[in-house]
Amino acid sequence: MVQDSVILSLQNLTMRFGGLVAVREFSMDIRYGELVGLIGPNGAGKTTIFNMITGHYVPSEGRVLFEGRDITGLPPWKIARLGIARTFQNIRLCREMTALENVLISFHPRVRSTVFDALLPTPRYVREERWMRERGLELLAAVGLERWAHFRAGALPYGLQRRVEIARALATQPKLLLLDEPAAGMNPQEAQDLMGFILKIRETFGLTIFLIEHVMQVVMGICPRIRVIDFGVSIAEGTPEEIKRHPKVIEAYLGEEALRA
Amino acid sequence: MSIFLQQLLNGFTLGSLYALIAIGYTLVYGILRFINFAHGDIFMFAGYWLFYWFFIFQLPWWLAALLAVALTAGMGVVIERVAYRPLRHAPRISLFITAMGVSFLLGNTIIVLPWAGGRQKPFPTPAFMTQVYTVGTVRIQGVTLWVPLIAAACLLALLFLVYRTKVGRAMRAIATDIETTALMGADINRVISYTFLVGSALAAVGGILWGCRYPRLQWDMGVLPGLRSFTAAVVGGIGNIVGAMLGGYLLGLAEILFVAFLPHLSGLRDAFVFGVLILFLLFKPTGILGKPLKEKV
Amino acid sequence: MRAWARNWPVRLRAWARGLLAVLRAWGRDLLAVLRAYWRFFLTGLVLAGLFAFVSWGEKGLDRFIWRVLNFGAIYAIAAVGYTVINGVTGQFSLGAHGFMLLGAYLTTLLILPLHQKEMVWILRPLVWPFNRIALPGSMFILALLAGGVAAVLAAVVVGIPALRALRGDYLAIATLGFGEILFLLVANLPQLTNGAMGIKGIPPYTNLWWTFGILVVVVYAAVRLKNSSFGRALRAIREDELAAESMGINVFRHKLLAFLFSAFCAGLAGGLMAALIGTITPDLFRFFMTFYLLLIIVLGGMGSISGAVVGGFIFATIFEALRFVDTAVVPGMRMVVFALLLIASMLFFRRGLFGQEEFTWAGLGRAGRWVWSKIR
Repeated sequence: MVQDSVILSLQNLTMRFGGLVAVREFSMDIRYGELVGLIGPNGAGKTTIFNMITGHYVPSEGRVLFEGRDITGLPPWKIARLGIARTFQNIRLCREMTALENVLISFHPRVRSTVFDALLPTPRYVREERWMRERGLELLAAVGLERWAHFRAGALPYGLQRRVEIARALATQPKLLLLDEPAAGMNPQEAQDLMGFILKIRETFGLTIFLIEHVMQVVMGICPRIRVIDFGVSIAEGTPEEIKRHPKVIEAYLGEEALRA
Repeated sequence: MSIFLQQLLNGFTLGSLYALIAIGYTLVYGILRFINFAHGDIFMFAGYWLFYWFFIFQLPWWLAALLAVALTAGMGVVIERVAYRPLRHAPRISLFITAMGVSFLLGNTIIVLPWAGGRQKPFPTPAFMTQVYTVGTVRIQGVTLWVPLIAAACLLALLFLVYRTKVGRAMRAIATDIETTALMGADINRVISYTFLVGSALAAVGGILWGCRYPRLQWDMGVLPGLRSFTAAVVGGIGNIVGAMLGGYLLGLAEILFVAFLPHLSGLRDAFVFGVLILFLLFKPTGILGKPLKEKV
Repeated sequence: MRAWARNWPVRLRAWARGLLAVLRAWGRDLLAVLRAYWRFFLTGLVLAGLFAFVSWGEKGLDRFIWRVLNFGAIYAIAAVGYTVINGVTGQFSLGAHGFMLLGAYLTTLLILPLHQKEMVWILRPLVWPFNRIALPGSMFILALLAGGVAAVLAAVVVGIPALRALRGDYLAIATLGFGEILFLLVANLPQLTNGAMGIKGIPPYTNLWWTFGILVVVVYAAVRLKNSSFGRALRAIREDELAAESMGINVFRHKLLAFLFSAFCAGLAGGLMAALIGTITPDLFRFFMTFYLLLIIVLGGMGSISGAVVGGFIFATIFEALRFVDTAVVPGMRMVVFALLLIASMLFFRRGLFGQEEFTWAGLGRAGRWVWSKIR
């Protein structure tokens, strides 16, 4: 795998909802092993871009290439099996299931046993189930959640739920991980810890990470490359230093602060 | 009058009744996003109220009819208050299940009630409905004349209510976004009660007109018209008031024409309606006039 | 020889000691096995008890109670399937009565004796091949399975488009519409079904062996399914369909799996019911039948297989107990009670008896200890 080759290529993505253009001609290349941030004010269209990558929305125009393959319009579950995993802005765990079960869900697409294997159960199924449980516990241990494995996911504190969600995404063995505002609802200290955590899993699992963030400061510390969008249009790209000084970015964020005030 | 014209008029009459009932489904769905399964039984109840006031308490027909509409409308409000409101923040499917419970409760209450019971009862049709009018050379029965006219008048009144009054504006606002409307200080509960009042009153008018058209009462007579009217609401685009009216008329016409042209399949008339329902749900769930509801990711 | 004779007390002692050690080891192993597998032993014990009960009850039970138990098991079979799609998977289907109807009619057509067929289809003869087939009692299971398969085929027809496109109350209404279409078809095909007049004289093959035997198999399958990786996927779909899909789960295929399972159970239940009551009409399997099943799984806890079984028996008991109210006091009162029960449990008792949980021996132990601590 060449470090410089492109894993994900977004080409002229446009998303229209009725008359409203949520994203306009968004293009971007992400290379293997990169950690890229996408920032922008609320409602700028960041999540819409993620939804187009993962197949939840079919772009009105443009293409999504993953490892050179056109995945535009594929259903989400197929895209997930190709190696793109995601988390959600408002955590979407299966709240009535345990943390471990949440992780095991992600192993399910790789189960080779049929339903009848599970019903009998055949040795193959028993073996697979045991393998899944072991791997699930390992994974939870790797993200520091082994103590919480058998707790109901909905009962865990917010920060831990976020980690379970990331663990669940990791269990699909992704090549590319999309994180949608992982630090949302966290205080600065928690956000800082989370960013350290993200760096760590990137090392451990050799991931490419594409990260959405609303608060600029959070990504500044960890993403070498940052893209900024506003009103669905890409307005700047560069290193954190360049972004901080970029007049359009300042304008976009100032505008938002003016609105908030 | 040619047979075809006669059938067309029949379809129009039936359609106007569907429209009246469909409004109730669409209003409630537009605001609370659940199918008020009991609406068909509310419709049925109106006929029985009239039956009671007219036959048992011997009131004059017009007074009995007025009372029936008022009581049915009140029933709608009470049902919402008692059975639906406590579940407003529960999963929507719980509301649906409860509505099914209410539907079975209403239907079987009729069986249990004295003088009503499980067997068919006559419906008191007033004189002006059975009278035959002569307009020029055309002789026309009262039902064929009055039913679509009264129904149309009620529909117009509803349009006025929804688009020209304050309550109507509040109803539309809630249908668009219930949380924002609540934040803006509107009394959600009051508006929802109004919605059930209006929907049930229209269903009551529909029930009474239905009785005039098909003068029999039966405890389960609400189920099929209810489902057909729900189909009409879906065809028109659920949540859309004009759509419900349009869907009602279209479905009424289609049903009558189906029976007229394929008489040997008349036993499968309801299968035809359900087929329409399923096809619309599958391929055009937003109906003819509805707007798509986007799922938030 | 002499040495042996001289040493025999020593040798005997050694043997005894060895024997004791072996026995002790066995005991230890036995205990360990018991400790590890006590749940299975208890379950086996219960199954053996059930076996004994059924073999006694088939002759010894009061006919009324025998009937209630059969009905309870039949409702439980249908409800277990119903709770897998409605509760575990969270896909609200209202077409169960249509599937029961299909099961009941196909089973009946297969087992009805030929002379009875000639008597029932007087006006128009029964179509081929059913006018030639009359399976004996020993092949009852084939007729039942055929009924289940017929229901599954119907479920494929409606499930493939409906489960792909619809969810929530739209799915409910579409499946309800499909169930009614099945009813109307059956009622309007007299050459096949004798129409609204129904079929009488169905041989009473259904007994406790069949109902309880099939119930045990169905419960086993449902529990294995729910606790397997597939079951986790089904539960994930209920909790958050979008998240499940984003983790690579083919949501539609799993929904269909659950739907077909439920249809199969409903088909079996329909066949068993037909051969229990002896006379069927299309009206017997109308929407109220699905309403019963819904009430059962709501009472038992949506998504709990244990709840569906317990609920099925409770329902059958109340149903038969209130029969005298219906026939002697006020007709229709029973349905009023059921409707009120459903509304009340939705308003005040939405969890049901079991919630989404299952009965386990460990859970019973916990509950027992809890009760014991309260008593003391």
